[in-house]
Amino acid sequence: MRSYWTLFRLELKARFGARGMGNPVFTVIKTLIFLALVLLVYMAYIFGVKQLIEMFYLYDMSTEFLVLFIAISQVLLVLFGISSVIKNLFRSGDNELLMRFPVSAVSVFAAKISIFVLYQVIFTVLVELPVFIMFGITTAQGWSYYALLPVVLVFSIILPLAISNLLAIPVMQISSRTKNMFALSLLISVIMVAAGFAIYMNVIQGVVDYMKEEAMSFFSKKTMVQVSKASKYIYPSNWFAYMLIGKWRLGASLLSFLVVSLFAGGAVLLNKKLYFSTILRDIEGSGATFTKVTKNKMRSPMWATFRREFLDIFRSSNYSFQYLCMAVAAPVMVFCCNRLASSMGENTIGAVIVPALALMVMMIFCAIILSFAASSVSREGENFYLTKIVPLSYRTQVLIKLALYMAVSTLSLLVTAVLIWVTGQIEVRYAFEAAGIAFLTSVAITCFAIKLDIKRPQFAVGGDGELSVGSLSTFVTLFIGFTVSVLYGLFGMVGIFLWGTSMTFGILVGVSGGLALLAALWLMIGLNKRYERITQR
Amino acid sequence: MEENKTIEQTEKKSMLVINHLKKKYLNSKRYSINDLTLDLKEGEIFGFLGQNGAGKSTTIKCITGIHPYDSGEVIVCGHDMKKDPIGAKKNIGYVPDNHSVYEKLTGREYVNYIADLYRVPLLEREERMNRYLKMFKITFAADRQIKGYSHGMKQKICIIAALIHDPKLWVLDEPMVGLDPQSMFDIIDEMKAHTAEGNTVFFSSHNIDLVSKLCDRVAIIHDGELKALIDLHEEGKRETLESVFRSLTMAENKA
Amino acid sequence: MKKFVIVLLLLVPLIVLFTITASGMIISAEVAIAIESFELRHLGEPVTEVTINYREYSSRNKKYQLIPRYFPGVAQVNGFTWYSDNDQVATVDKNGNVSFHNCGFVKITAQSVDSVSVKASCTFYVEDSEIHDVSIYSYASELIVHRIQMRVYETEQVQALINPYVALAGDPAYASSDPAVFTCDQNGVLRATGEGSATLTLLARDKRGNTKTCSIPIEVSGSALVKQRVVYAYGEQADLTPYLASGVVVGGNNVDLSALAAGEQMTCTVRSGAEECALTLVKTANEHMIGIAGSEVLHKEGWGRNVYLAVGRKLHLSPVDLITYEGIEGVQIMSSDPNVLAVAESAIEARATGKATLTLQKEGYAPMTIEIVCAVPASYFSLNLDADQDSVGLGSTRVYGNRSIYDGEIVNGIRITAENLYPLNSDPTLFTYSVDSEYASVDANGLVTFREDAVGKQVTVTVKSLFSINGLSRSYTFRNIVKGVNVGFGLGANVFDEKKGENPSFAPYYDALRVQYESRDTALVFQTNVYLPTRKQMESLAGEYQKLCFTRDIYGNGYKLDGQFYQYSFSSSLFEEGKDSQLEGYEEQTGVTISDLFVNSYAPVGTDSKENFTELMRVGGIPVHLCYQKRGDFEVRFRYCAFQYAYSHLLSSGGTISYDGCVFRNSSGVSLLVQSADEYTNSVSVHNCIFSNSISLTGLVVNGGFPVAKNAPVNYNAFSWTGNNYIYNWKKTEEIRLDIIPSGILNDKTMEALMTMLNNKLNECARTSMIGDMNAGIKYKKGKDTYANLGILFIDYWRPIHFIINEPREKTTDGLKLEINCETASLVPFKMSLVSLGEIAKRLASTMLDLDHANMMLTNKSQDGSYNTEPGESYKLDQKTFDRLRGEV
Repeated sequence: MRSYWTLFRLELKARFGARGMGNPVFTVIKTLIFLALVLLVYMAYIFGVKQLIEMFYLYDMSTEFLVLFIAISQVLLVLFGISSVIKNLFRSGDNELLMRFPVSAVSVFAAKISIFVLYQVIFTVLVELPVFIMFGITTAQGWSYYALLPVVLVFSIILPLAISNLLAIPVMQISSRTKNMFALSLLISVIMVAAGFAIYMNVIQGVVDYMKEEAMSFFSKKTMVQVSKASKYIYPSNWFAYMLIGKWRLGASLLSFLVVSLFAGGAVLLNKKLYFSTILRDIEGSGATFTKVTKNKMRSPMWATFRREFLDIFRSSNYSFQYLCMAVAAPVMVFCCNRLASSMGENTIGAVIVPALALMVMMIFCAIILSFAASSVSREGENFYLTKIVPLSYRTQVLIKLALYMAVSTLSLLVTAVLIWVTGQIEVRYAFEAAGIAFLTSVAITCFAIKLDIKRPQFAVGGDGELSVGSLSTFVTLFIGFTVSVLYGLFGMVGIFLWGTSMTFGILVGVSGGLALLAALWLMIGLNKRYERITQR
Repeated sequence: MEENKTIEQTEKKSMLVINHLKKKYLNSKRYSINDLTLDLKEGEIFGFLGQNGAGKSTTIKCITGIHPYDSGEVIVCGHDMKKDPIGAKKNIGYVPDNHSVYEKLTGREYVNYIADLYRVPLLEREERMNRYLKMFKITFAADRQIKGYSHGMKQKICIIAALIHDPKLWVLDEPMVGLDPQSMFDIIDEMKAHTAEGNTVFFSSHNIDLVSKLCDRVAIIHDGELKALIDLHEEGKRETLESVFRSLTMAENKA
Repeated sequence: MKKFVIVLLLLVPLIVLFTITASGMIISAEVAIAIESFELRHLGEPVTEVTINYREYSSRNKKYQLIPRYFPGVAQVNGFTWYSDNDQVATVDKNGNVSFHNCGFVKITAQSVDSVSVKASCTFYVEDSEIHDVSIYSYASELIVHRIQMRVYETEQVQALINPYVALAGDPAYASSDPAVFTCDQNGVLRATGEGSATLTLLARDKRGNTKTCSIPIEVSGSALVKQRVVYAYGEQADLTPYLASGVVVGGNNVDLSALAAGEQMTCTVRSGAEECALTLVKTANEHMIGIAGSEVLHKEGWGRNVYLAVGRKLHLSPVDLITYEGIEGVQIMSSDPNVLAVAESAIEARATGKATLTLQKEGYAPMTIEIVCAVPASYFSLNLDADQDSVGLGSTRVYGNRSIYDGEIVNGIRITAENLYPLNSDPTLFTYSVDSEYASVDANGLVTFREDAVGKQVTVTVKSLFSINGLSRSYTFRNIVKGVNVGFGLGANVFDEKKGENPSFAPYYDALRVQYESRDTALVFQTNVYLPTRKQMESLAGEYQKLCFTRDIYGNGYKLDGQFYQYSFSSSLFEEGKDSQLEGYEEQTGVTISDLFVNSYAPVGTDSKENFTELMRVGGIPVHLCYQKRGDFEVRFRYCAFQYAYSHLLSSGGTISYDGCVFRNSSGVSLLVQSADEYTNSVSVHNCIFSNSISLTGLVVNGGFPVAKNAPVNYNAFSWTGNNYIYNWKKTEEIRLDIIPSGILNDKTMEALMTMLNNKLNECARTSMIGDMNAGIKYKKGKDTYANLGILFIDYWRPIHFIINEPREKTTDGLKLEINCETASLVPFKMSLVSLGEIAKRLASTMLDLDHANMMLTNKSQDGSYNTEPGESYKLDQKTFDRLRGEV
């Protein structure tokens, strides 16, 4: 057992020990902001769920809500479970280390698992518990509900744990095979992001509608009936729910216990046999790179650099997620935000303001995408010296970087404009005018971001040559990008109302043009000198 | 310390001229390079010896344009690094000590990329690349992602890329570290062949006996200053190089 | 990095929500648009009539949530006040949650705080399968009674009032505690038999099997004059003595029937001392006639005429020989339609709604046939005027002419009918009408005719349902009768209803034309929205009528082709950018490029007026703005246009905009937004226009938000207000804002135009209230002095009352004295309760006018209670508030 504890403490230190490589002040700020954001989202979550519970209660569908909630949280736990099981148990770097120590497989497995269980517990307590309590209060449940709650919570930790263990190994095989199919993994992440966001927006739309008591499109009678019918067949969540609210309690608790123990037993058995062999096989396999036969081809220096920059991003899961995936998923997300905005806007300020909202949302996504530009130089990392020795002036190299970001974001903006026009959300003229304004501001943001990066590059490069820590300039760019978008949104909406869309957009085009010019000048003037002074220790 | 120049040297064209180069890092008091003057001729392998922190890599970084320098001039094949950096850089092939490359690309992609930057025509680059690949025996890995290369293979691909545009001036910073003996000999042959064609190799290293065997002239640098410029063709110079080096660098440290 | 990006994504919608609410607040603070109409919704569906099962809601104290959804969406809404018209049945809290306390009928109404006139209501019929309460209703006194006094031989009919009626299972049972005092049969017919007191117990069983009783004391004292009210006699003579109790027939107890034919009846008077009562004598065809005991009481109107029987109710028949009043055995009872009226032993039962003839036959007796109508008794109805209830915003002081037009005919009076009966199939014809004052009378069909001198008097009409289980009745009060013809009754709001796709009708206008031919001097009272289809009609309306009264809005125009009303929506800008003068067909050549007349329209004026551009905007808040980029002189004329939700302002410098014969509905009126004041002159002219419910009559918005060179010479010369411009604003009783932003100092010409407008005797019949916009005092520069000037204008019906506008005078040290002395008498019908002196004082304080607190005393010089302050009462703002409002604190 002793070795278990040492391993567990080792795991803990590895996970929470060495924090942030950048300068301490910055990491503190970063964590603070991150926490503030998470807190904000959490409060919105609690408020939203409370509305949902009331709403379902009004429709006499509280049981259905409980079943759905348990089902969704189980699915989420399993999803997160699989990724963390793979990360912690199989693919974490220190497997090799642990292999050499004279420790039994079980204690290694147990140490790693307990970290994972820790995450599960946190999730359950923070996310699920408050909802159960709110549910209990709103639907005035008896003491038996609260008595059985801990049991259900335990079940809802063990079950997903077991399932994710079972699924981890096959998923790992697939992921290692697809690791280098960059296009495929990008596509998958785009679909996941777009779908996840669409569902998220739908729920928010529903909550907003319910609070506004508008046309209950989302929770219309029809969907309600289907939901209640479907919830009868979602095993085992419905048993968990029935156990809680005392509907066929005995049978439900027996069945739940049976299911949980069945899965748990299966998982333990499987791991006992396969854990070590999978780790071993996986170690050799890790880092499997791909071979790609290409012909020698002559390209212009510009185009070659452009292509190399793109490949650098395309072939890293981290970068491609933040940049490419966002750019590709942006149109869908803008569309969803518009739908919410127009339905929400309609009864407060009138549908007339939708163009302004579309503009704002486009700019927000540009800000997210283009904050990536704030690490364009830092991302060179070790290879920074190359940019200095190649016979290409720094100005050209920076322009190429700018061109790459502009190309992708413009494409994304155009697709968004077409989408919101075709779906009839916004007139063609204003859709493209908004895209124009968003483009100009994104030029401004990119130049601004690159300049920031050149001013204070942070070459802190992670293990596999990628920026693991978000640099300060990224956060500054993001913050400014968001603030500018909100200001544009406010000005746009009030402006449209007072002077009409064309007038307001006219002004905005002027302002954005000015901004873009200013930022470009700020970047270009004295670029070479500035760039030269960057010394990569 | 100026040695009297032999005649042939005078007709030879100077490939790399460093005049009173001074370089101080931003927040440091001391000059990393203090008034360095060198004149590398065509067709010679010029050794550059110095202990760690002597200012060796700083000098190289100034020569290759990676770092700006406070004063003095660096002229590469007639192009002043400050006034015409592009012209200067076209003629330099620099192999860094950390051998870092774009690991996401495959070997071939990387070499092609560098070749594109130097506008190396297709035929020329193909011939040269295949030659080097065969020489370094890593043809098999050409189309594999560099991330999967071993340390040595990364070094080789970095060298190939640096030399793909057949630069007149090679600047090699510890090229031999981590290479297998056979590859070392290949590089040395290449260096000799290259200089034979009238190009110059600026070879910075710790390996004194290699320098003594390989180089035509050697500069010893210590604390940013040029301590000695030795022409190894002169009698007995190669043998005494090590003792000279030790006396120059040890004395300073002891004092 | 990935996690961080995901959190950002989660944040985006929250940011979107935040921005919308923020800009919503900014906008609604900026512009006040009147709320027009709204509907009540429950869980997303609009509701007006709902049947509620009491048990389902009361047991789980569940609330029925009503949510107002208003139009236009951008209207500034500061909330709604909710009230219930029957608190026993249901009450409503301040956010529209209705909780039910008892069965019955209740109407929940929500009223917009911003414009009192805009209301919406929903009627609830609360039912239960259990009886909540039972009471006894007496037909004689038409009341729910708690004790009955009778005299011996008198009969009275009572009816069980079951709440809720649907919960009743079977027939209620009546029981007398002492037959010696009174007897009662199953039809609720009581007959006093002897002096004393006893109790009548009513027992009702509900569908859940439990019973509810109600018992009331019956006191019998003294004796009725006659034993029975109706006597049947055969032969030439009839001796009435056996039917007399304490009275004597005037003219002898033996009555001569020879003059009567069979079946006819006569009444004789029976007297005892001072008391008299009538006795009906019916001559029968032959000596024996079948009748039914107590028939003279059943449904007080007697059996003769048709009898109503509530579906599901039984009526017990005890056949009687009308002559001898002995019971008859073996009478055959037959119904012409057994599924409507079923016969079982000695009782008949109404099975379904419909008509049936009941015949009672027996050998040797004349048969008796009774027409019986089986129907469901009405338990709720409302009056059509109710439904069309006053949306004028002045409470029940709505204006009515004393004559109306129905189907094109001018009729004397106003028709009141009952509608939305509940349950649906009760007979709508069975109502009685009565009027409470001698100034009007009402006929049997509900046509109320007013006497000449009814003007200004209050007339209440009561409508009672004959066949209802609890004597339902409703009343409507006319408080404001004027000499004029009502036009547009029965059309409801007459609005273009997007959802139902109903087009508004032009009937009111054509009816108005008919009135015009009939009698020139008659006033017209439009009871619905009026559509002026073409320019010609607009001209005639704007020009000729002396007296117009719009209780609702004037809609500008749609155009009519072959009888069909076209709604022409047009949302892109009329003028293409950059193209030279697009004004084809525009007579004068303006030689200018209008870069962006962004006008989106709802219905242009008829095709015959192509040469002008006429747009009526439909969706709220989209401005007509002539956003003119190039400088230089230009003129834009709007003739016969109609602006709805328009912010028509001319955003330019150096140009004139003229409105000729236009209608502004719910618009911000005419304003000249000048971008930069320089040497160009701008002018706005308004001629023969109609402003209905327009927010700011006219506005000279100077440098509205745009930078003006600090010391640039300010020169706006022309603001003309000519012809008959009508200002109607029934909706906003508080104010029309004379939106003149003080920051610009006006020159003489513009000032004169404004002064004429303020002092102008607006059309007498216009009925509006208009308070100069307190926070935009008009500064009038003459020489070096500035005059503060304020106009409060009360125009009442038929009596032009103007408030003396402080004549512009030298700036006096004693600051501004505001007197409200409306010299002509009555503001009675026009309660200005909405704005109190205190409110005006506060607004005054917050204006730019140079006031000093010492002598700012507001006194109400009017003779009656306008400003809900007593005549002569004065109000002084306390110093602290004054300073705060002045912004000096």
